[in-house]
Amino acid sequence: MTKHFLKISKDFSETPGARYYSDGNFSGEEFYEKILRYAFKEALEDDSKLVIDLDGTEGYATSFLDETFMRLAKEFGKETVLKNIELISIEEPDWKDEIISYIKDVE
Amino acid sequence: MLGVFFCNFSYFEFDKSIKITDIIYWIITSTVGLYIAINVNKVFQKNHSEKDIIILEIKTIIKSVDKMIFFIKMKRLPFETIKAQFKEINEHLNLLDTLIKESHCSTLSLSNHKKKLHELRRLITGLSPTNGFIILKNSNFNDISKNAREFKVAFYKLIFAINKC
Repeated sequence: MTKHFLKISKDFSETPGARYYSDGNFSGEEFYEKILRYAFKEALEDDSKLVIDLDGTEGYATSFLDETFMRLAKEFGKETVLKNIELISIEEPDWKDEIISYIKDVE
Repeated sequence: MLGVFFCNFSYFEFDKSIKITDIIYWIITSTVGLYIAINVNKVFQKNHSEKDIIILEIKTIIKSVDKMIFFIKMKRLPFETIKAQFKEINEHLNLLDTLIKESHCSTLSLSNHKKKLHELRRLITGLSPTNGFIILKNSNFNDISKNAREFKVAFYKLIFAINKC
């Protein structure tokens, strides 16, 4: 299976914000709508995995990651998301389990 | 006893010859004694410097938590700074975990500290910022400041545990 790559610090922002557009710049809502959903769609169409690299930013708010991955799971289904994404987080390894729990918690 | 011995020194008789077995016995005893002393000292020094390194790392975390508590008390937390502080604390915590696992205190666990950090981070960065600041209301201030205090105390307790092991 081939892989598509997305590095948040490079492809979106080094200072990701909070949950909604109304919270300020680089929100989770913005990241999802402008970057992630298209990157994930493209990866699915190519029968590829989407590798999301979380390293290199100045830190995340839980609201940013929650909003982003919750919306991804709602739109594409949690099984599809869990099967087709791979997370890289060397700087803060515990984000990986945290994000997986956000995805699994989606009804 | 020593007084009695020296006062009656002339009473005792000493051989002018010494047996070779006595010399060998004396050398072996001294060497073993010296070897034990040096090695005990080495182990003590090693454990002591391990503890120093670990405690230094814990103190770095406590300083970062103090900075965070300062903002919590003001009920006005700069969003970018807080995010960066949480990342910094988490990275130090992961390093501390590695150091402890490699040390003679490897049975100590940081799972409680990680859980507390996770909870505090969720409570603070789960809130929406306004003009770049997370504003705490009375309703969430008590909970957040209690969690932050407990998080800090957990590191002092860790220092006590490190000193005991």
